[in-house]
Amino acid sequence: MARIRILRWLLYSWFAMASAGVLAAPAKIFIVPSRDGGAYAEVIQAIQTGLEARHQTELTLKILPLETFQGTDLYVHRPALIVTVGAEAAQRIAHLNPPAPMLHTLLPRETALEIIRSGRGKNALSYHDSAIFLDQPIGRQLDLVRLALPTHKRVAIILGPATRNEAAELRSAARERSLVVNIAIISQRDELLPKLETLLDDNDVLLSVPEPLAYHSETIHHVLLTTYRYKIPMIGLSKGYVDAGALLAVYSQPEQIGRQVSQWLGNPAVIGGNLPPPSFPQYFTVSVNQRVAASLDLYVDSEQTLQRKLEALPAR
Amino acid sequence: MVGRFLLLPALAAGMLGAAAYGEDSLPLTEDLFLGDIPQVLGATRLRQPLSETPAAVTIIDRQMIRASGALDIPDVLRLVPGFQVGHVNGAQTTVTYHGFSDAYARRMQVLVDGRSVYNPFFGGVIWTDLALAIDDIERIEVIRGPNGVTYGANSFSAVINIITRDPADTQGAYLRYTGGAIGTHATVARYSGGDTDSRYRGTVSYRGDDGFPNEEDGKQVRLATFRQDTHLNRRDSLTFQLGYNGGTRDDGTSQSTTDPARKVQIVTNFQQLAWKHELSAEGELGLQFYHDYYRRADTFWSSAGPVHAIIDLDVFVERYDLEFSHTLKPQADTRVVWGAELRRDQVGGPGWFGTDQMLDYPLYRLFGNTEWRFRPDWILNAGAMYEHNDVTGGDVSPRLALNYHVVPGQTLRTSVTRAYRTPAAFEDRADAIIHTNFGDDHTHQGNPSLKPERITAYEVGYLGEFPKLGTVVDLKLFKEEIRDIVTSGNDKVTTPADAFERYVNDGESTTNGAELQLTYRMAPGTRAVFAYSYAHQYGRLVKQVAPTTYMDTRELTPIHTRSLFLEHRLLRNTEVSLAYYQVDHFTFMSPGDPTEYKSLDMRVAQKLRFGNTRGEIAFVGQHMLGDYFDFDRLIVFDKRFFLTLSLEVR
Repeated sequence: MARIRILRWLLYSWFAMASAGVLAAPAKIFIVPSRDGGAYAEVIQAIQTGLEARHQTELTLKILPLETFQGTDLYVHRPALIVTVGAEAAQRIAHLNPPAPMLHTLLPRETALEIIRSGRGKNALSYHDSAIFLDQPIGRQLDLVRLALPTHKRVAIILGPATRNEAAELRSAARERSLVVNIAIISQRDELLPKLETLLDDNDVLLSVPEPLAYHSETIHHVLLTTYRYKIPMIGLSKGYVDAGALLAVYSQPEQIGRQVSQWLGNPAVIGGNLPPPSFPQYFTVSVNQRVAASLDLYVDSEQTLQRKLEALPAR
Repeated sequence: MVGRFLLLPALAAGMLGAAAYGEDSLPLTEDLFLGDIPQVLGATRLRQPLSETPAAVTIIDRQMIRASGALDIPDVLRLVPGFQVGHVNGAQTTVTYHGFSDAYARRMQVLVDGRSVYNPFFGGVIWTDLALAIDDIERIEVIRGPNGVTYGANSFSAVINIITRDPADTQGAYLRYTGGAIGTHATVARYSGGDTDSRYRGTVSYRGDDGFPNEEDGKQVRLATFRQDTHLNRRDSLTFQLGYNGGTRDDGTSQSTTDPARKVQIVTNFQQLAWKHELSAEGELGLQFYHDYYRRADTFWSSAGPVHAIIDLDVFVERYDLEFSHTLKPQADTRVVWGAELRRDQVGGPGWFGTDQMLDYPLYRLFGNTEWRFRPDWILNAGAMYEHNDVTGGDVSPRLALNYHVVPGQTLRTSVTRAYRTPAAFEDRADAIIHTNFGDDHTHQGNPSLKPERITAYEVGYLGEFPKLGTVVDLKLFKEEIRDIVTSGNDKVTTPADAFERYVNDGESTTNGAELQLTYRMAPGTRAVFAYSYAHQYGRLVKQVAPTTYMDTRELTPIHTRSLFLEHRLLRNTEVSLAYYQVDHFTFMSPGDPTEYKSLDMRVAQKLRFGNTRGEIAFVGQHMLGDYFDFDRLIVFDKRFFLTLSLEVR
């Protein structure tokens, strides 16, 4: 116990010294994406753009793709903060138990929390690691249902091994919004379609959650077709879902995640190791597939209108 | 053009990559949000928006079928604007659009999953004998108006497409029992299994009742159907179906010796195989083969005092059909479908045709239709079908239609269509003679030189979709001209001693009218559907061939036909629904009687849930406004009550 306290004191004083010398030596921020290009590059681009816009030159961004990442870099460059982009980067960098706080981005909440809880292993160094999740708070999704489909009161949700603990939270969030959620929990892929159909029989809308057993690129096809046959609209997890045939979705684009990261970096406390708690993304986008709406005989406001209405709601 | 096809391999590769994950222990990563999802509800699967169809269409979904309280398919069709249903007796129903029909409504095409069930013997559809359980229907799409351009001859006044449920949607076991009035016992048992790549459904059903009081018209309908859907790969799928309907239909009159009470035996079966190959998001190849077999065994001893005869009313029909179609999108603003069909019908019935030989009716068809969106808010539909058969030779059924989206949600459409009805085998070749011990009695004589009946329909329509109000309005103004009507009359000049019915093309009819269909969805589970048809029909039909006399046809079509369907979900587990029907004065041709009626059906259903078992108890009351008849004044509906229990286990 005493040893840990001493260690922590040593660390803090190291940080104090480091921050005192900010003007002399810019703090280094490591950014480690799981992969090159695509969404990962968009996050990084948005971070850079944000920092440049604020002329925040006291920070040096070092982009170190996971593929070529060397553990020794952590000790040679002594980063003040490590931003991981993607679940794989989060997991593998956390496993190195780096001597710096980590901010995990572009990954689902359950994965992020698990990595923060135990990703550094047994001899975890004591840092306030944090995350900006990729998923949306359930309240935001339910608010979207309420705004877009005011007569659809009964919300079907499928949970699985990764998400089963969220049932109570889902129910209370729905209650606050005068909605009823009916939840089916599956433990094997075989159960998906039977339970989905039972749910669709009694509900008005299917809300998808990041449960890989239910919403895997192999299953989405069947889930979407089934909802369509039951004439039940589906709320997807991303723009991809909406393009594929979901009625609507609220999601955060990589650029929006990057923007939020850059804002966090603008806070000196964050550079000093004092990260905000793991958070849902602040910025989001609403997409609507009006062809699906027409096909289901539903009226849905435009994306812009729904976005405006959703942004105007207080976060709960 | 090239670019479109280059996209495909990339998409397929993406899907393979995703499939590499193991079962049941999937990593929860950002791929769930960021991964590519193949477009599922693409253009070929999404319902073509009603605003882009070149005709007036009514869709009756599964929920509406159930909530209407209908036990038989024809009863559901009363909810379609302009439709009249006549119960000839408890085992025979006739369904017509804009009246102008007898016990065999010959002017409407009916397809089940793309398989024509139009019977070429007398023409029309024998609804009781379809190998199809009402529980297996996903939806019924009714094209109100001729559509020979798509479905060929006999798609004359309207086309009914019945689409059955995908076995993927009926997984598990299902059991329904309905019992109640007129000794009704109906049991349906279904099991569906398999996985999403290869799934099947088997249904068996028994339906029996005593028919109308004091009539020999009970029925025992046994049916069995099987359907298997297989995805061979991402692009190819096969649907295989089998069906059987057999049993007895009561006929005749008790205590009659000329038309004695008897049990008619029915055996019908079909086999169907359909292959689909997706070429791209907008293209598809289809190949379908089916075989249909129908046999009605009804031979009996008839006597009137010293005169007696063996009456042979046996009917035999067999059909083989092969169809190919190709849908493509050669340009961003153009969709094309073209194809060809080969068919061979064989019919037989010694008592009807005076020969033991099978009559052969081969035909072939070539068709093409183009949908051209020449401006973002204008769609032109142009197409034609060439059909050649051995009865009337070759005919072309064309259609030209224009849809204009005035503003989003409001569409005007106009079309001109021509279609034909090929004379049924009986009209073509009848040689019905009753051989008695006192000599022959010639009753019907066909006419191999008949021309096809011809319809030309002009339509102006308006579709207003107001989704914010949950309302859809469809208005149709029409003019239908039917010419060269095939009909029969006595010839009292040539054969004064034995004047028989002889078939001729001598009749014409014109119908002007307006139709309204109004759907109002207040909330999920709550809706009202109103249908109204105004039809002013006039014309003449030969009554006696020689010396020639005509009948006025005005009687044959009701001026007003209305229906109203209401359903409401009370609480979570209770549904109530009402269906009201009102038909103005009209008559089905011989042997129908003049009628007009109002009728109300109601249903209350309570859903049951225990674990993976779902069920429903429903109470149905039919004809709640009291006695009426819709065809024959002796075939009277009184109040009927039924109780239904259904269970579904996954």
